[in-house]
Amino acid sequence: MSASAIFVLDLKGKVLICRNYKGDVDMAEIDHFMPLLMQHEEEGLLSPVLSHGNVHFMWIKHSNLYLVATTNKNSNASLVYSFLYKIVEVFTEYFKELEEESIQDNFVVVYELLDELMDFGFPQTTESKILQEYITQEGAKLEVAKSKVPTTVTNAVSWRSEGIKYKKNEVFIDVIESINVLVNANGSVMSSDIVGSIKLKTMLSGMPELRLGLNDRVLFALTGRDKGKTVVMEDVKFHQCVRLSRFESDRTISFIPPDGESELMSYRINTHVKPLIWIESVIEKFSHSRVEIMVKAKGQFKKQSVANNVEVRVPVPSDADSPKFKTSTGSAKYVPEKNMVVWTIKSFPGGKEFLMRAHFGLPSVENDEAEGKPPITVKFEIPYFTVSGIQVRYMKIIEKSGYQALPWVRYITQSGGRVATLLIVFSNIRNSSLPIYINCHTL
Amino acid sequence: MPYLSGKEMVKELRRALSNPNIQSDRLRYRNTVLKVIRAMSQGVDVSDLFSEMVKACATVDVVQKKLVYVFLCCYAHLNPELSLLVVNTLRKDCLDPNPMVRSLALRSMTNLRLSSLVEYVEQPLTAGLRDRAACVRRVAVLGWAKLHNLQPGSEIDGAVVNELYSLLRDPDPVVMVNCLRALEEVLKDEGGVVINKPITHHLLNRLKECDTWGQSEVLRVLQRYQPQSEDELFDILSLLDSSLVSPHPPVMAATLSLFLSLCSGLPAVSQAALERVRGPLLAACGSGSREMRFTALCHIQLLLRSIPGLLGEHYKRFFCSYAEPAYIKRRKMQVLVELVNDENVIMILDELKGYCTDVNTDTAQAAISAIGRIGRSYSDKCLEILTGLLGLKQDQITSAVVQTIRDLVWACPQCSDAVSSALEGCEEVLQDSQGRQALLWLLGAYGERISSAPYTLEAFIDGVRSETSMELKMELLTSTMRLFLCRPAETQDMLGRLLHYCIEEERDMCVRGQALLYYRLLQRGIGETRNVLQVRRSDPSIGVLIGRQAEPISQWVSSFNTLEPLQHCSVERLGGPAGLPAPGAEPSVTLSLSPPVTPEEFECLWMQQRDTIRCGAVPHCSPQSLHAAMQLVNIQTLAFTPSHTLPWKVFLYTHTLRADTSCSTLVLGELLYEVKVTLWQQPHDVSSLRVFLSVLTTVLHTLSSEVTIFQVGPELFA
Repeated sequence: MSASAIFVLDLKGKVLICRNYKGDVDMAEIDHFMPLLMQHEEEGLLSPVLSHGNVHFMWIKHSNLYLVATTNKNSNASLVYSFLYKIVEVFTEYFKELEEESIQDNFVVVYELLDELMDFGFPQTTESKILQEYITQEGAKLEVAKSKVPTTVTNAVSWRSEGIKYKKNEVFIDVIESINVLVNANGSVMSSDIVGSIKLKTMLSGMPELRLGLNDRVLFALTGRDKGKTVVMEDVKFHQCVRLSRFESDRTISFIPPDGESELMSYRINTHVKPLIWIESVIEKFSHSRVEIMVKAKGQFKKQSVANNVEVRVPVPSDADSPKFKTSTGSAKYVPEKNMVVWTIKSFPGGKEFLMRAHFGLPSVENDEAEGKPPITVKFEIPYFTVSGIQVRYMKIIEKSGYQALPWVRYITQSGGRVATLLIVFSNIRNSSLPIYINCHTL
Repeated sequence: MPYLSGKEMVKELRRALSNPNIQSDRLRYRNTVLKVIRAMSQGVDVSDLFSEMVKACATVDVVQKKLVYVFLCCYAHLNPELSLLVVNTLRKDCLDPNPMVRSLALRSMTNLRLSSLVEYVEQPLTAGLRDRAACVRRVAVLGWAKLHNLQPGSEIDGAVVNELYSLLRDPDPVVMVNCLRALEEVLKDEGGVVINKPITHHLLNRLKECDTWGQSEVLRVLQRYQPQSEDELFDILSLLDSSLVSPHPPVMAATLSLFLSLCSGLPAVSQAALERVRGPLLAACGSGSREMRFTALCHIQLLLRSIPGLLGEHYKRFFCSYAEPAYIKRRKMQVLVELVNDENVIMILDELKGYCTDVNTDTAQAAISAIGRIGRSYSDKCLEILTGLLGLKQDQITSAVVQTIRDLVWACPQCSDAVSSALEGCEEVLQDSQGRQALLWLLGAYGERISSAPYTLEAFIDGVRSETSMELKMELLTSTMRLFLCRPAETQDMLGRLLHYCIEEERDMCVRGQALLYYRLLQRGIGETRNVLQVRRSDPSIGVLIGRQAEPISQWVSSFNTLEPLQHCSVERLGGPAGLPAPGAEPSVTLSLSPPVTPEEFECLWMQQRDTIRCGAVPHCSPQSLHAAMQLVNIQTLAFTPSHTLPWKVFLYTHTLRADTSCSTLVLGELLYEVKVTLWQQPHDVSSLRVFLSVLTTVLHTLSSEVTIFQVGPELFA
């Protein structure tokens, strides 16, 4: 591992805060970071590792900050990056937004956190729930917290403190699935996968023991049952509270949950899904005069379901002006700073089809620069519906005191967090001097 | 106080810190300290306040203590004497009933990094090792590592080492892992912590308790373990199987690295492990963080060097997405080139074709050259795409395409027909000198088939006065000469003009020299010129061995899961400084094949210069057996002449690595049947060359019954 020092820089490369863990790399070396970054960016050789002499900078960017780890050893790169992302995660939990202002406003906490997160270049306590017990954000809170030894320091269950009490014992389970679909220009689906996660909001007293049952195919095969719909999950990742040994042996998901909100597990399902909202578009560009766009969106999911907050984002040339829209439902808006039209439909029932027409003027003097051909993307959310068909079959809650607790389950499907589906049909493109939006698949 | 300048601010703060009224009010005192820290992190030099801050640390307020310690750790090295004053407070804090305060004090004490304080720190650290609270023990254990790091080479108390070893059995997993880390640091000179059977089994049993950081650390240390029996080895492997498919990429990578080093003697097992790890590897390539994706891709490239077929059917996972940064796209394309096979070649080429028109010119160029590399095995399909791209008439794309075509034709001369028809009209689009040079080369080489070649060259010759690039002028000279040989009538006049200009008016010596050379060559007669210029640059009977040989895993396993694979071409070896060689001892030199040398690079280096070593006889045996034998000793044979030709030639290369100075050299060689061995080495190192020769002799000896004696020429080893 061995990161020698951690720096947080602003966009100009000024050090906002730093922590020297090992003292084997000169802290002034960071002055070389920004010039190196700029130089490599210019030459198109940018990479997440930059080296100056025998000092290596491993960096990530988060909003308007650079987080940089320096080392002069041949250290484990993937571990350093995961640590930097862990820092981002912990800071975000503390400050809601991690950005330049929040660092400046909370520099005392940042120093405290950096102190606890790492020692001598080795990660120490990184679980944010536990860190909260070491760190005292405000003076007033401090006296209370400091007077007693944090229970988790000696506790076997490091992610949950003892003595939590709730009047009403409840646990909320959210099953959230997002789909990523790759469609090529001919309209055939190249690949598709589903990324799902199960989120918990636990409001339970004491040290409850929870057991979650899913319609997991491996489990059904193990127990010899073969009825109803089952799913095959890949790349299942669990929160550290889940007893992996039990999952490995009999596929039982049993755990003592952390208090409050947490992500219990995430999974990926690699199956063939058809795009839930199918987009067809015709884009006609008349050079020097206008662009005409026609977009058709079709809901290809069950009639009973409704997609909420559907946003279809259609890219337009950066020099377009005087927009005019006509929609069969919802409203369209031109967002000039992002060079796109956003067509919003509040609720989109399954099986329906909607149309949007847009008209833009183009200047007579053409922009010389070649523009990117970003794809059309769709954002949406379908409640009470999962693409994979995953179901929570039961949630058992066992606690010493034997109280009754209620589990609530909710299912939501979203478009992929990273980018969603699209299809562009070419027809009638008269001026093909500038290839319009050819490269349409993306992930 | 934003309106104050740095100096005034320090003055103001000092006044406030020494104000007894403020000192007596806890909140106000703390706020003043807070202001000092804020100024410090804003870059104001507040080191002058050191003595005031030392006083401020004698407080019961833990928040203030934390703040002051941050300050002290930052500036202690500037004020070693004053820092002595802090030690008392710190030692008192080490006895505080609150474990948080104890750990804070211990950590700060060791973070001051002052060797003058070592004697005061040792006692609290020893006590800290036996503390009740795990958080204090964690700090104390690492404290010893810091102490040792402060005075490298100092003797460490054997009792402390023993205590650290016994703390490996601590109930807290972080303490255990910290112990490993500390022992690694403290016992660095002895090769790190001892990994024997009981320790290994203990660590393996407790692996599950550790967090991902701890697991990676433990797995890394375990790489040094040598299982005593095969049964034990397989027990360990089965135990680690769940970590191998861990969803956390660092743990997965660390486990794979451990598997590969444990199974170095069992290739079948390593292969099985790699098959098993395929899923998690692909998952890491789709990870949400681009840096992790990049790291995974770099490591996949490493794996593909040994197991080229590992991911062939999963090529779609390496298709680039629109929003990915250029460095990921570039790596993905490099991986795609490796994955090409008969089934997926059409899909991959289709995808790469899409990238060729990317807005980012670097990405577009990378895609074009990737198509060119695939073209060596699937030339028709690739040429079709490349010539199609010329139709776009975009200068950067055309330039990249022409350069790629030049390289492709060089490797596969059979596709020259398709090329010569595609080149018409490119010269109008090309802007940069690299692309125009490539075009000139192609015109020179295939001028007889390109009808417009003389006209294109004429345009270049007319513009030669305003040309600035020296390389381009040299290329122009050569091309015109070559074209003159095949189409004299059309070219004679312009060649005359060009030579006249280059000899009489050109200011650059290199161009002038080359022009003079060609002029004198022409004076010797056309036959002589033809002999020099129209001979192919490489021996036509030499065919490049198709495909690169799979490297043994041991070539790269030591750099797996480190920083090294992420860097483009790490010329300098990473790692600590190597010791000086013992006087008089023969340096131990090892041969290795990485980084691999491509036939083009070989050719390029070979052309530069070489030494010849005369030797007795080289045995004549079948290429296959020679290749296999050379591979065993890490010498790569790159090309053979067909076996019936005389003289029979073999081209080979290797890298030598001296253990004592860790400097490596590249050796290229040509074996000439029964005549000589010609060698090229860079940088020059006689002793490693001698080792190379002795290895080579041994191989050749074993291959043939007849005894061969190398007579090493004295001029080389003088």
